[in-house]
Amino acid sequence: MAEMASVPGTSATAGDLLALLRSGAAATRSDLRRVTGLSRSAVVSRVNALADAGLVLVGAELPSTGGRPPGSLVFNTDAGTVLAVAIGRSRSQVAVFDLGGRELGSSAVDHEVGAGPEAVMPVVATQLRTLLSDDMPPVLGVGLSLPGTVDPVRAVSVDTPVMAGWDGVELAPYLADLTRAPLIVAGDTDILARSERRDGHATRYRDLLVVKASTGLGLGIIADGRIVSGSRGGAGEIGHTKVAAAAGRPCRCGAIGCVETVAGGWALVAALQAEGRPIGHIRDLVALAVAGAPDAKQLLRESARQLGEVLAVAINLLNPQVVVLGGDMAAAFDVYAAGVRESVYALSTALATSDLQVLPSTYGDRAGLVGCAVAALDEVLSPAAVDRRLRGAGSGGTR
Amino acid sequence: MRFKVGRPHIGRYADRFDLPGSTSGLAATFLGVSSLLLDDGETAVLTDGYFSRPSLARVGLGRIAPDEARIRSVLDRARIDRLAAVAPVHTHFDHALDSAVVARQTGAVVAGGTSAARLARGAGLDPDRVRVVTPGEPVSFGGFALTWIQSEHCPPDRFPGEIAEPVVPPARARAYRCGEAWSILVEHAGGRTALVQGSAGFVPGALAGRDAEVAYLGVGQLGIQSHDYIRTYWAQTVEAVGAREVVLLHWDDFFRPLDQPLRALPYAGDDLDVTMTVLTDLADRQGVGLHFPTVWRAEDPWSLIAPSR
Repeated sequence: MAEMASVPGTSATAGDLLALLRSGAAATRSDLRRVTGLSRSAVVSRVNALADAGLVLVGAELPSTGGRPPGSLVFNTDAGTVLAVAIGRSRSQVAVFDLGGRELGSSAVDHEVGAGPEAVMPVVATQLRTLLSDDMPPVLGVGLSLPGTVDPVRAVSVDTPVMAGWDGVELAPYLADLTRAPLIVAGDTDILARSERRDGHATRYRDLLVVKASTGLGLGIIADGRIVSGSRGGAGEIGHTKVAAAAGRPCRCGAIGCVETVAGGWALVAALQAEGRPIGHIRDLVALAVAGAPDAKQLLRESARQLGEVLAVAINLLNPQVVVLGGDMAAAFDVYAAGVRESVYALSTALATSDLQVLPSTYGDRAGLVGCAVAALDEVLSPAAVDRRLRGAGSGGTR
Repeated sequence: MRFKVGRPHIGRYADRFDLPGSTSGLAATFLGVSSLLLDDGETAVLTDGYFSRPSLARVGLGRIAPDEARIRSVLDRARIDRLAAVAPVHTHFDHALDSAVVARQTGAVVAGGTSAARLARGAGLDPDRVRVVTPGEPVSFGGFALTWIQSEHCPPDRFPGEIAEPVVPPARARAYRCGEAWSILVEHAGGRTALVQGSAGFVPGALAGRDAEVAYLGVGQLGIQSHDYIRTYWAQTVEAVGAREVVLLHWDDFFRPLDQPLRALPYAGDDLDVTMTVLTDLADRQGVGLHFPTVWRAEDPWSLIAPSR
């Protein structure tokens, strides 16, 4: 899940060495010497600093694992925890993960559609508190996702059509009683893309488009192994692309003619409700499709076909190896993938589709939590953050 | 039968557009009606090659001719530059109108019966690029061996009979008489086998003793037949060759071009919902996979079958 470890050379810090151990590029002191070119004494002092901080377990400290050499160094995934908070429109999930990305506990809270942070965040904090026990290692970071666009500098929601009360609101104060560890805030599609970096599709491919097809429609982008968020964090807002099929239809974002008005989960639900159908959430429609209801399959496939028309442009632009389908609608994967494929293979260039794959998201409805954990871990275990921590200058680590 | 307007929604069967993509080796790409590209990376053969797809009004009222620009655009989009053979499943216009032009543009031979040969010559194809096959005798094209088995057109055959004279386009649709209707058996050097059954007709017993792992099964007009007919058709094709996976052909409305989303044939000429009701039941009971192909996508239905040879 770590960024692919670059070889830092003789300027390698303790944080760089930890990154090499986490990525598997090195497993002993001599590996570290060989990979970095650092002297024996430099490696020893840096490893000692990491071991003193509890981030690395050395040789004899290791539990017997059959055959591991005595000089082995292992990243200590029990040295801390990170919290994951995936805020949704009507439901939010929270979880605790160890530093290896293993989930230690989770829960979910339902709230009113459109509830603001003053209503939701205290409940989130309470839920997190119940998940944390006194014998758990300290919280090192918190990853939090919000639907829509997040300003990458200010780490606050911006221009989010359905989360209006959240725009511009700093969320760290709501968690201040729980932890002072750094808070990383990202948009839900970025988070979905990040989830694929934990033993998911992004560990096998470097160019991916990760679709979130739920109430809204969004796109996470991984290009050449990196998450692309855009200059204002607005990359991947494909749900608000204007399409001819949606001409004249008002969107929840305030604009007219967005593809979401014909293909977003909210639009499908609204259309069914207008017909008097007992559909409360897009998940209800997806459940019908999975159970085989022909009209539900027809609606989802048509949504996917419309989305696919916009996605085809993104595919021509970025030439991904894989399109990953996530979100509530993608739970009916065969149906949704069929619609996406139909448009994409017809409209994208023959070259871009020649070996394109359409795959389901690795973590399904838990992808938000996994992605938040990955975001937090990438931040708090980055070489710079680790070095700050070793110098005693890091913030947080207490709760 | 009561007259129904409109057409079935293909989206009802969205979860059956579920074939694996081809990652390497043998690939089958559906290009509308019964046009199926089989490509092993070295050699490619194509059934029908019907890409002009003139409108219903044009077919009904005027004369039709291959649309070179549309044919070129489909060949480009499907990345077809060389073909070894173009094999019309019969010589109705919605199969064979473009076969000769496709062959000319790709260096292929047109391979089929005497009607296909006359059609190809009428369209100006060089005689040495026309091959009249002998039923039951395999013909090799690179790694592919194709065997033509005589079959029947699904009733009603609107333009029955042989093509007796070369047809020179533009011509009326009715000039494109059915000619020989074929079941085409495909055997690839890698061991994979398929049946391409372009029209939903059969000759009882004609495929007995033949083997094919995958049946590409034409279903045009099948939905207006009796349930008994549909079941017999399945028995005489899918069951006869022991196919484990069935992929449906000839279900799309061929009166509009391939660059528009495919939709089912209208109720006026077919009823895909009836076809699917019967075929789904047969497939479920026999443990056979039932799929639709995704147009333009190189697919590999054989990968669903454990290697048996």
